[in-house]
Amino acid sequence: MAISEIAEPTISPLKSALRSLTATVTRIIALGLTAIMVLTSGIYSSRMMINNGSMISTDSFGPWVHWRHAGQSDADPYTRARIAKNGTLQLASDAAGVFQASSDSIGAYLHSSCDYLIEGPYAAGMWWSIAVFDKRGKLIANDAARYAFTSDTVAANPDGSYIITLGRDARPGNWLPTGGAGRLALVFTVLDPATGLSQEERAERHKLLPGIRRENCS
Amino acid sequence: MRPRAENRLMNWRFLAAIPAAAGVVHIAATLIGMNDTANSAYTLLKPTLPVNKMAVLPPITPGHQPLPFLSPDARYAICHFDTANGPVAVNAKLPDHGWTLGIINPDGSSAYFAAASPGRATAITLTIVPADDRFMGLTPEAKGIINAGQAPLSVAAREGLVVVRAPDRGMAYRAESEEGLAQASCGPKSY
Repeated sequence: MAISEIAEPTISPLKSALRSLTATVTRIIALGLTAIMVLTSGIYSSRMMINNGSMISTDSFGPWVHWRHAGQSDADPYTRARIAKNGTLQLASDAAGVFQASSDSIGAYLHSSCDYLIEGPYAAGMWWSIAVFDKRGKLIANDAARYAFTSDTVAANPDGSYIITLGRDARPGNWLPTGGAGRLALVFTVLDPATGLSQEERAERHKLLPGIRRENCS
Repeated sequence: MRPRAENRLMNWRFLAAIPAAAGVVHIAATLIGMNDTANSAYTLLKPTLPVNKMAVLPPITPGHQPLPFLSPDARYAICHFDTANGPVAVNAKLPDHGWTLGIINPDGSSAYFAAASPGRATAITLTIVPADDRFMGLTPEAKGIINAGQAPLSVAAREGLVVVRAPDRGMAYRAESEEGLAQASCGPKSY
């Protein structure tokens, strides 16, 4: 018997075929899992940026999120996708500031089981409104038929500032009922003057955004 | 025995391709989302509105909220315009600060936006012309007719919504707001 025949034992054709099959199946599974990972991460990241915004499309001021190019013809794809998906009638962001909050000033989700104080400064000459919705953007039915306050309908303090209370139970003053809506969303809209605003004036406008303070939860 | 480079599944080219492919999927998903108008404001409102006619919406309440996040802080007059049969004329008077007029494309983007000045009525006269290059006839100026008034502004759009928004100034002003909205008009332009 030759030495080389002892050193290299022969592999049966069946074993060889099995090894080849195993390698092919492993490769197919790995490629499938990679494809799923690629699709999931691509779609998920896109949905997240459309639903929640990112540095590309939004500015955050405490709990308030502002879509920078909302309603503009040259808006970024995420803003356009969000408006198309949500079915909102968006005021152009170069004529009005529309700010949405789904959390309070310390970052906890707004919920109808809690009471909140919304405190804002005097906004000289600006028309603003604040409205409360459930998380899907529906108004919350209530016997008082109160869904929003505006700079014209809010009962302001002597210095022009205002306090709005958000809660289930009736309160004196500017009370917005939340019923049993669960998660809440607040929308603060402030219209620019017809003459428009410069970048500096726009930055000043952001100081008018009210704070949202949680009082208690039941 | 070490596998040959071309047979190794996890070579560096393959690893680099994963984030690149995820990026392509991300871009494709965003572009699809951008062009998916199945739930846009235009798609939701279109069946409820007459074509080329301004309609004043009833006050927004939980029982009548045609769009999400549509706030009851304003009253709305909306026109579903379609320039398939020719230009559409839009006239509205924005009496005071807070009144706005916007032309919204089917995808929700804004084609035109105007806001009133404080304490001064702003009259808006504009013509929405088809966005394509169709010949729709001669303008009065081309026919030699002198236009005594201000020439209307032209906005190019195929179809969409004209939205006149009157802010809620409280009970005392509601009748006035409704009257202002009722005066807004939208209809086929005749030369």
